[in-house]
Order: sequence, then C-alpha cells, then structure tokens
Amino acid sequence: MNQPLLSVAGLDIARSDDPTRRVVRNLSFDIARGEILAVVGESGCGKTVTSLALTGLLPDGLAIAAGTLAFDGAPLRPAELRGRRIGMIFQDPMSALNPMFTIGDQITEVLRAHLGLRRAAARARALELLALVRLPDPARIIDTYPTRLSGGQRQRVVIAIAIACNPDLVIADEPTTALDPTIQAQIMALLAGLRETLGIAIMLITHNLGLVAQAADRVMVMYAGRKVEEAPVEPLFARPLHPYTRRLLAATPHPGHAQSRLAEIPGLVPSVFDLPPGCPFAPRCDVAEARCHGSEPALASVYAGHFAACHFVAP
Amino acid sequence: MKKRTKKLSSVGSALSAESTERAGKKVWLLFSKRSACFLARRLALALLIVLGIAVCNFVLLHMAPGDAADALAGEAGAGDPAYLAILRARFGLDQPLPVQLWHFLLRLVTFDLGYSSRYGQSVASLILERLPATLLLMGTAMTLAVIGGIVLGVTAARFAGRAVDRVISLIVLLLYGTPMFWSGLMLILLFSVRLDWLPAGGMYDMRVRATGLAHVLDIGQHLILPAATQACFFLAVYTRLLRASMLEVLGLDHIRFARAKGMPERRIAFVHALRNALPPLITMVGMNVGTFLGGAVLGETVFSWPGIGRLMFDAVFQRDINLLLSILVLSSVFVVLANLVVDILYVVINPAVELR
Repeated sequence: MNQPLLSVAGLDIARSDDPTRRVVRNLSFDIARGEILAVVGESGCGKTVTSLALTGLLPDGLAIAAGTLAFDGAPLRPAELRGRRIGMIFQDPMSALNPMFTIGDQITEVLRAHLGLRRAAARARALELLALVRLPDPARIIDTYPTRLSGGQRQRVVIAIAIACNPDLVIADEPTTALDPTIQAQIMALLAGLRETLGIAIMLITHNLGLVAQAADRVMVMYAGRKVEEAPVEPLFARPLHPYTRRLLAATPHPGHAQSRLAEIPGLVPSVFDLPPGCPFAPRCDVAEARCHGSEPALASVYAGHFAACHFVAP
Repeated sequence: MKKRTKKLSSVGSALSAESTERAGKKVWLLFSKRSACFLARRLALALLIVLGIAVCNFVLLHMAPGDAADALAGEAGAGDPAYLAILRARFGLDQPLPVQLWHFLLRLVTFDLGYSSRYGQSVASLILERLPATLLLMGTAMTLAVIGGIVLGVTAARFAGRAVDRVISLIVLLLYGTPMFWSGLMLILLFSVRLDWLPAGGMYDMRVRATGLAHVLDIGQHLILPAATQACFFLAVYTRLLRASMLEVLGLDHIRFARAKGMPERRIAFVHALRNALPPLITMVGMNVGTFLGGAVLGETVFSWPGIGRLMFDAVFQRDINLLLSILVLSSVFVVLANLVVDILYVVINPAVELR
C-alpha cells in the first residue's frame, strides 16, 4: 500500500507544434493517498499547466511531450477520471459556476453522469454535500442560482461538486486567491477537514505561503517550469535550501511585524521559451557565482525527503 | 404546467429535462402578482403603440395620391366625376380626413375592420381566411431555421477553425448571399419542373378535393418548397449569430469547470453553453417573427401561396385602403407581441433577468 496515488515522472509539457519549446521540464513528483501537496511558485512557473495536464484540459497549442503519469497504479487516463476520481477547484468561484442553472442542477448532473443516480437520489446526495461543505440552509440554496451567492459560498459549492463522487484526489488551483482573508481561512479549514474525514489527497496550487504552512504536508517549489525544491513542510520552512525558496519566504508578509517595505525578489521571471544558460534563477539570485551561469544544477537529495536543485547545496 | 413550458421555450428544445423543469418553475412565476402587473402594463403600452402606428399608417396612406374610388373607376373605365363622387360617398371617402381617421380608429377598437371595396367582402373575414396559410408557412420556416441554426451554429462553434466549421461557414455564406426569390425559382425548377417531385405552387391540389390525412399530406407537400426557401436565409443568419455567441461562451471559466466535472462535450455544448448563448438568437428570431409580413410578400408571390403577404401586395396596387390599413395594424400587433414574447423568454431562460 506504499504505492503513491499519483505518480508523475519526467513530465515535459511543450507547444504541440514544437516539442522543444517546453513550459514544464522534466517534472517528477508523487502524491500519496490522503496527502496535501502544495505546489508553489510565481505566476508562469508551470503550476497551473501541470494541473491541467493531469486532468487532460491543456489549452489548444500545449501538449504533453514526454513523461509517464500513473494514477492508482495504472496509467493516468484523464477523461475517465475527471469528475469521478479527480476533482478540480478553480481560482475564481465567481465565474466557475454556470449562471443559467441552479446550484442543485450543477451538483446533480455530476452525480447522475458518473454515479448513475436517479433524480431523487441525486438531489438527496446534493443536499448532503451542501451540508458537508457547511453551507447554511442547503434546502434553500439547492434551488437558487449562483448569482445569489457570495464568493465564499460559491467556492463551497465548487468544492461540493469537486468531492461529489468521492474522488481520491482534488486539484485545487489557487482556491482562495479570489476570496478575502477570513473566507480564505474558512475555505482552507474546510479542505483540510475534508482530507481528514474523507481521506482525499489534495494538490494545492498556490503562491500563498501562509496557506502552505497551515495546511500542507509536503511542498514542491517550482521555478521556470522546473522543480527547484521539494520537502516536507516543516523542514522547508525551517531550513529552505534553494535561494529562490528563501527569497519567497522572505517576501511573505508577517502580520504584527512592522515592516517598512515588503521584501521582493528583484528582476522578472524569465520566459520559459528564452531561459538563460545555467541555472534559470541565477540572474536574480543574490549568491550566484560563475558556475551558476555555466551549468544548470540537477535536483539532488540533500536530506532524507528534502530535494533541491542548487549548486551550493549539492552534496 | 409542463406543456406551457414546452410551448414557450420552443427555441430551447435542446435543453435538458431538468432545466425544462426549472424553466417551468420560472414560467409559473409569470403568474405571480408582480408579473401580472408587469404584463398588464406591457399590454397597455402595446395597445398605445398599435394605435400610434395605426394613426401613422393612416396619415401616410392618405398622403399618397389616389384612393379606392380612383382605382375602381379606373378599372371600370369610367372617369365620370359623378360616379366617383357616388363611390366616395359610399366608402366615406368624401368626409374630411380627421373624421375619416376618427371613424377608422372607432372601428378598430370595436374590431370592425370594415369592408374591402375590392373583394366585396368584410376585411376581417378576408384576413381570417388568409392568415392561417401565412402562419403555417412562417411557423414552419422559422422552426426549420431555428432548429437548423442551432444545430449548425453549435457544431461550427465546437469545431471552430476545423474542416466541419469551414464547410458549415461556406454553406451558410451561400445561403446568406442568395436572394430568396432566386433560390425559390431555382428550387421550383429543380424539384418541380425537372424532377417533378413537388408541386410548384399553391397550397393544395385544386384537382382533387382531399380530406382528412390526405389533405394534411397534400398541404405538407406544397409547404416544403416555400418553407425551405424562406428558412434558408434565416437559417444562415441564425447559424452565424449562434456560432459567434457560442464561441464567446465556450471560452468562459464555467465551461472549463464543466469539463473538469467530466461532462461529455456534447452536453457541454448543447446544454451548458447553448443556454448562455441563446439571448442574441432569441432577440433576432423575435425581430424576424415580428416583421414576417415583409418576407411573406416575396415568398408567397413566388410560390403563389394564398396568404396575407399576397393579399397585402394586391391591396397596395388596388388602393384598397381599408384592407391595407387593417393588415398593417395586424402587422404592428405582431411586432409588439413578438417583442413581449421575447422579453418573457429572456426571463424563462435566464434566472438573473426579472420581470419589472
């Protein structure tokens, strides 16, 4: 039973017309059953594209160029798993629900399509789900339209849809970014609670390190389409190995500490199609030296379970 | 309740059973107190609009030179002023214009549409005699155009940029660019003259007086060519409109979420996206239904279909002002009603819209 739920090995995602133009490079990671893996990194680092590749929803023009994807011991077939065993939660709950259909319609169609439930049974299950995501008064909400709900309430509905068929994995792509901080905390508590009660593994894509510290078991840091560090959450926060991770942590605001100015990472994220030679982070790195500009460091295991791709920490 | 829903949302026939039921609930809302107020206000307004249009029509027609007496006398070959005066007195044409207008409006509100000097028959019975034929033709043509437009438009949008889309776009462009009278004549040439499959004109076979089912089939046979001809143009318009509207909707977040939910592509297109893409189509169909008399003139003339369109056409040339005015009023009633139905349909398909 030590087999991971999701196993990604050597994943390359590239333009479909030119496999050498890669947006995700040689990415490997596992997610165990019931585990919360946080994927962090700046916009454009390949987090979202990776999640879309896992669900077979890559936009036109992008395709998986290489790599093996396995789910529960078998090759990953996104079209069969989507909505059934892999649920998805998107960033903006305001636009994720169809304004023309009631909340009930949008939940029951999943149940009827995947579980073959009859109308009455699906409705009963939808009411259960609405209660499960702690929406007040499910009996009323089930017949309302999304426009009547707040952002937080809509995200709860989206979560209810994502977990409707008891999935093994939920991919949450910045599930709280569009919400205000109090609601963010509530939604994260809800997701963490669902993991406890239902044993759902969660791939949490975010750039909010506060959320990561609070909820995740393991963290994967991505930069320019590549994994640069991976570790369980405590070691990562206690002793980050990659300079990029250190800068990310330094850039996190700490409430209560008077700060004249929020620390930032100088420079811009390089275009994935136009990477500098050597380590892609080198031009922005404050400790970079000649070898960093010369060759790209390989990902190495520094401590047990703690990997980093940096010349300075390579054993 | 279900039945009523079906009738109202005939355009949305592709919608799922659940949404139909939901729409049913919305339709039910139309009979609440607030909606009753809305409908009453709208109907009162509609009445005013129709009256206004009637006055405008009346004034415009009387500004044109010549009247029914001129036309009748001209045909009789007698330009005798005394005869003309008798004719004018008989039809009330000798009265001052405001008095004539007053009489016309009075008759209108009592639904007494007057007497057609030309056909020697009451206008009401003339119109009632011809209206079913026009409604049948227009209804069939519009239904064909809407269903075809939805299927082709959604399909083109689903496969945008690919071969299927290109073929549909090409066909639609041809249909759009071909004048109705020409395609009508060509269809007659092909299917009636060359192949002898379908009748070239008329509404039923004059030689045999068929009854019952045979009668229905007979009319159906005569209906195919004129309905197809009229449908072609509208089908092209609806396909283009819906394709554009669908493309916009298919890029929205909730469509991506529907895919993430594992919904089949066909359902996503015809249920999730179509319902969001319908409003522009409904507006367009409403406008076309409202102004169908204009199109009816051409189509009914080419296929010698015994409908209102040809009646109106003849009335213009025969200066049959009573008949013409009545048909124009009828036409304005259709425009206003179509608009009202469109507004109600918006509410039925879109929960965010409310009657006010």
